[in-house]
Amino acid sequence: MLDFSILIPYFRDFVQALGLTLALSLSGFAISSVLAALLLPARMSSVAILRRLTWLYVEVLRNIPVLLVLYVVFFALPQIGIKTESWVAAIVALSFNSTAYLVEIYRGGLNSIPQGRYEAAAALNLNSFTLWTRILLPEALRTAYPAIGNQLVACVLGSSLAVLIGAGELTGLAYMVGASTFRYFETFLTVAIVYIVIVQVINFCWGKLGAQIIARNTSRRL
Amino acid sequence: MSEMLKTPVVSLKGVIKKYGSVVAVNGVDLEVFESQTVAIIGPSGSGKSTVIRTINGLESHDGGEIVVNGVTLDGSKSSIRDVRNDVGMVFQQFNLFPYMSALDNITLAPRRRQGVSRLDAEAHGMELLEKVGLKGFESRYPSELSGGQQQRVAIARGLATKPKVMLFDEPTSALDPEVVQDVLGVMKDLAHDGVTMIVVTHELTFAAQVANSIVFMDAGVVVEQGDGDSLLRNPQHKRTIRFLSSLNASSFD
Amino acid sequence: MTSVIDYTELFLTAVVYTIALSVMSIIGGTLVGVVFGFLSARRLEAPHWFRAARVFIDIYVRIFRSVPPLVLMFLLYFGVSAAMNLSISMTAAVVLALTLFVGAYQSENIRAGVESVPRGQAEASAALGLGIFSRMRYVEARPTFAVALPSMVGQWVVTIKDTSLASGIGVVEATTIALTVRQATGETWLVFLVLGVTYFLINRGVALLGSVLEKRISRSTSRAQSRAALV
Repeated sequence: MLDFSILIPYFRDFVQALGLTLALSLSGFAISSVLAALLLPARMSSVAILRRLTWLYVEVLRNIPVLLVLYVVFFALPQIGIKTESWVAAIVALSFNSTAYLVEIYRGGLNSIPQGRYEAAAALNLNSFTLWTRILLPEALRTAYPAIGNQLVACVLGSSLAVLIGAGELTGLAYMVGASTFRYFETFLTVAIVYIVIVQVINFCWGKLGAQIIARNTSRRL
Repeated sequence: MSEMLKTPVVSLKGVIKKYGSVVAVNGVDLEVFESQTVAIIGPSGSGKSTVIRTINGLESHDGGEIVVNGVTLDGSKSSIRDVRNDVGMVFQQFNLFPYMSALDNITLAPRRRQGVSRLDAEAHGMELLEKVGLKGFESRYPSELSGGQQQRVAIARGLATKPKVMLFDEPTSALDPEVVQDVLGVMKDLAHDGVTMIVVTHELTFAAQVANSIVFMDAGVVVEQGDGDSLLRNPQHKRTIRFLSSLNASSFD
Repeated sequence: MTSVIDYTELFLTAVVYTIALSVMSIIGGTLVGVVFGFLSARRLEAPHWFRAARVFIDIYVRIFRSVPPLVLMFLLYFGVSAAMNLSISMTAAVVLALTLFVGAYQSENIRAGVESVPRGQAEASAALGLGIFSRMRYVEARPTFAVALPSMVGQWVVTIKDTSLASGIGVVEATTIALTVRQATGETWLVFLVLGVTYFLINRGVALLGSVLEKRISRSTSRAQSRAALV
């Protein structure tokens, strides 16, 4: 009854779509990692207006669907003269969304550092450069590392929304192939499996990378 | 005593610390001379930890004068920095940096703050580790060390910058009873080597044996001060007597 | 072109439908999470068949955390009906997809909560001869929810936001209607603003509800703790 062989002619298209999916999610993740790092000082600033503005950004972006952000970028921004291709819109929407989450993840990592660490550093007279580069950032990165990995996976899953503005990534291609062959089950199941594989590979690599970073100057037991 | 002729390493005059309307430290005077060990005892909430935390500027003081090795703590960043260069500190909760080896914990401040070369800092660090009885533990991480071992690494870290005075804030209070003596033993050795120390502690036996002077604090003031024998064996003040008798049953003798 | 105001009633109906989808999916995801989380937590003194359950649940979690919910909806709505010749309603496809997706995340939240219960509690329960289910109910449940509730509420918000994906298969919920109104009126910014404010308010409401629940749970656990400390 099931016939996966109908997918064979589309193999090359699937490889291309996979590439687009990876490009969308990885660039969304990379851009948001940087944006979040830039916003973090404002989010934790002692200047109330900066703190409130970034708080507002985070709250709004975390409480509205990514799909809406995508529609705003793709349908609303052109009205004020900012026209984008669907894949650009997808990256922009993913980045905006992911930034909000990453700011809070970074902040959580820093906030988890106990007060005693600051006191010890102060007693040792460490300057703030040493405090940040040698103590705070390494420790915060380790605490936040798993959550950052989850955010990367969220970017992969989120990239599937691009189908709704007509991008030809994995989900978009599956939709097209399903519509032209009427083999929806086979195509969507295949694509679901591809996503599962992508995410497992990412989890595996993220774990390995983490072990590398941590092993470089940390406990063998960690 | 000949020490009296010198200027003190640490001098506190009428130091006051308030938290809002609560006065935690209410006019404390204290002089500590080179090679002296001063123990501060007293019930919890007496302000004894607050006092030693003002000495290296972890707590700012609201009144009085603090002079460390000729530098007056006036609240300015430079005075705090200068004072901290001369003061090592050991905390109740060790506060080691968890993602650095024992040796890296010890060499961090000499290398980053004092410009000591890696080689020299590590050589000195290894000596200090040996001194605190942890030879061979240099590449261990805090999570791989017992509480007593962590605290001894913390002592080595405090000594690494070659401070003029070491502050100990209840260094054995978070330790299991069986390792308390390891840490106190290291501190005794330091006292014998002539390291100037101010120790907030509940270990009266240690205070009696090692301290040149014991300060009893209660409710933010120094109630009584004297050498080990006189203060512990022959306390003059009611509050001191009450405090000592409350401890006698458990820890002292 | 018609005015946006003309669509008020239609939009409100759609919002009600969004809320209905959300409630059903939140209940589904939470139920899956609670059952799977409690079964799959690593703990002392648990029956042997729990280990088998954990293997199965681990696989489930791995799979359903990795598939975009939109793909799940497509698979269930277009795929299952095409392949199995049975028709599954749009609503069922959306609720099932979100239940499976969010359930995987909730399982992990609950599991982490159960595993944070100190091991002494398990030993004490075993010493008292408590069965595993009374242990869950009386010993583990309260501290588990105290720990897991914030992240559970986070997933409720995710669920509500993800009901917007139902527009992808044509369910008449808030996002679908917003797109319709946008096309009919051309008021792109206004329509999206209204839609955004709607989701924002619903989600803030849920977060508020969550913090009330958190306070209740933490108050009752801390009261129990301070009482224990006095003894």
